[in-house]
Amino acid sequence: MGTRFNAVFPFCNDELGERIFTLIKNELNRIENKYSYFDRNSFLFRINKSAYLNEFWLDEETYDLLIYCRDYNSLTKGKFDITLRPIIESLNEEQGGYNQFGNKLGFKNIIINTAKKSIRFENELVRIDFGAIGKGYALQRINKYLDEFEIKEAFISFGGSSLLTKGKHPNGNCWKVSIPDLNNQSEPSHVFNINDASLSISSNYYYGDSGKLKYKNSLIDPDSYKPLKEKKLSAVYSDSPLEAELLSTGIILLDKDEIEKIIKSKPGMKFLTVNDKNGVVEKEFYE
Amino acid sequence: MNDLFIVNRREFIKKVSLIGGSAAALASMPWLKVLAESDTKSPSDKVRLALIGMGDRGKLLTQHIESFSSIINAELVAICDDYEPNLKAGIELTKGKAKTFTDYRKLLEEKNIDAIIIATPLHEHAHMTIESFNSGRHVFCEKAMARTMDDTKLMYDAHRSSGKILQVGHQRMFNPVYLDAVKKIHAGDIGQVTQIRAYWHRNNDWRRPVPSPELERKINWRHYEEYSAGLLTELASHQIQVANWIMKEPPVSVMGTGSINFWKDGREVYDNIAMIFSYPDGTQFIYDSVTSNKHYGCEEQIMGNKGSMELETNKIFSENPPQAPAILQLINDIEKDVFDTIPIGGASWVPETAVQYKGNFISENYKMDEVKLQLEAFVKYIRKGKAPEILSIEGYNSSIWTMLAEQAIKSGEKLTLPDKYKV
Ligand SMILES: NC(=O)c1ccc[n+]([C@@H]2O[C@H](COP(=O)([O-])OP(=O)(O)OC[C@H]3O[C@@H](n4cnc5c(N)ncnc54)[C@H](O)[C@@H]3O)[C@@H](O)[C@H]2O)c1
Repeated sequence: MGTRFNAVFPFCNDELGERIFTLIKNELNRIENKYSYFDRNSFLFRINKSAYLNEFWLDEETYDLLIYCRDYNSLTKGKFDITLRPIIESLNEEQGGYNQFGNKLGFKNIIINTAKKSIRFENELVRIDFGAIGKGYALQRINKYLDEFEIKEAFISFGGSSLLTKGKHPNGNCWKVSIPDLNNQSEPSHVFNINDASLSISSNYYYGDSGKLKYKNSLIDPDSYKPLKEKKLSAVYSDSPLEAELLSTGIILLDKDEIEKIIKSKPGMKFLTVNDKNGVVEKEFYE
Repeated sequence: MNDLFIVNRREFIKKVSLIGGSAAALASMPWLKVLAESDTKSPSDKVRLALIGMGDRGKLLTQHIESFSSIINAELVAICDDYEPNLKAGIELTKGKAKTFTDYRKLLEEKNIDAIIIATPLHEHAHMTIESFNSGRHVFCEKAMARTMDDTKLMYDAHRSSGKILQVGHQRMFNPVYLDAVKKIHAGDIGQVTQIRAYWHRNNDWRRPVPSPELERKINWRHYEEYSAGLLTELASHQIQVANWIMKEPPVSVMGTGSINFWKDGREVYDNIAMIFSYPDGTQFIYDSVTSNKHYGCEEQIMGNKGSMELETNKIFSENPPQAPAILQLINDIEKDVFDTIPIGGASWVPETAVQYKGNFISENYKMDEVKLQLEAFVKYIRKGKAPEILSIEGYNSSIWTMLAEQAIKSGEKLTLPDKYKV
């Protein structure tokens, strides 16, 4: 998935650690091979190639993922959407841009037949991209292995933006994770105390290896089809790494009222949004 | 198409200046300098080109020239082919503007031609090139240079004694990905290069349809020893050039083997070959080519003690992917009984440097045509009356070692280059 994966198991012997790590690696490879957007041999590639022309029957796993995406698409008023990849691709091209897509993208263009567990694309431009949920889904699967092996303490980071924790830091009562400030790398903008839970962070700015803040146009607002330009960051704390992943993308594009509605329906969750308007930072914390 | 080219050309020129930003890099790639120089539109600066050999390659080169002749201020004024269908195709491509010839000697008698582009079969390259020099013209000759070592040397010597430009068609020297890659390799990004592997694999008989039997040898010249060394001159020569370029010098020895083990169709050249070239510092370059399996395709793999590159696919892999500092800090804390914040949360880390799993791109993917850049450079050199000597030397070393490799395969011996062929 083009990023780093790190796992720390503080109380695990080498042999068990290696076994778990091998399992994790195989599972990550499996997910990558099945759901890669670019790999011509992936299952997802086949879906994207044929679901406009023919009805496509999904396997259980993919169907469940898709339904999950649909539910969070409606919970976030359409902001979390897995069909916007073609827009990002068009931005990298010389010409074109979002105008060419008319009104043809958006989750509503995936027609789901729940009885048959099949799908069909409403038009030829629709593509599914699991890029925005891949890390969360992988962590959810990994979580199952950790339970099977009765791993009680673990800190797992997927690209630094999707975290899964078990138990607590050996020397403390939780895992303390700081969220960077987009204006000042040395001062965190927030510290989460995580206990047996997950945290997912979304942003269109990141600190690269060189320590410089960089922009990436990876967040598309489905209502305008345009990439989010304002400096924004969101973080979601949840028991479920998959839910955290989906909502962190959703809420970064939502305004305060809508976010408040969501948090009311999700006891136990915590949200953070940081919005930097020309150096004036607005922080909101919801729980 | 042209607009896109102009936009990319500007980006490329920026890139060239960047490559040139490091004096060491530019010193090893001086042929790029000319591309950063401004264009001239003056009619008196117009460069008049002629092309001999309107086959597959000749047509492609012609299309390129026609598509951007006004940008580079050059014109294809004459074309020559002794095979009527191809000459006709050439007339169409040049919209009848170029003067046509069936005998290249007649073409060379024409006035008002500054330079000759040669895209005929290999065995025709040497005498055409030398006669072009003798008529006072610069030459762009498709790779490989000549069918024999002696002819290759004669071509090079004629270039030196005439003072005319000899550019050989190794377009990877103008490919932005290769330029970036070689610059990075020379800067030490993958450590010390200790092995190079390259291959070119296809699965077809490499045979062209022949309208009547007496044309077989003319059309399928690649299959006959008199005209070509097959896979060696037609494919391997490109990759030998790349290896020499990376190693900054030619090899010291070559050994190899080859056979016809699949296409027993009357061809005289090997349908599979394998060779090892050794460089002065002990680096081995391992090469093979087959025509009965295409799974692995075409690649040059450059291996160093710190990383690897795959040039055809623009990939770099690190031996030691950088660790997340925050994770190292966390492990330290746990070991030292410290409980501290883990400064890890941010937008997803994306690799910026050479790393990990499936590797990274060496270079941003420039939609830039290496063949166009190569031709543009040729035109600009012509205007100056000379080109950096290294360009001819790269072509020479690639060709001479390709020919020596053929001898090594035939004799089964490990061969070194006789002094008389060293330049
Ligand atoms: N740089 C590259 O990547 C690249 C790619 C393909 C070919 N090439 C090179 O280009 C050259 C030509 O290859 P091709 O595939 O175009 O071959 P081809 O057989 O398609 O074309 C050769 C042409 O030369 C003509 N010709 C032969 N003898 C002639 C003569 N005495 N006078 C006038 N015309 C003559 C033939 O009639 C034919 O039209 C070769 O040296 C080949 O290695 C280079």
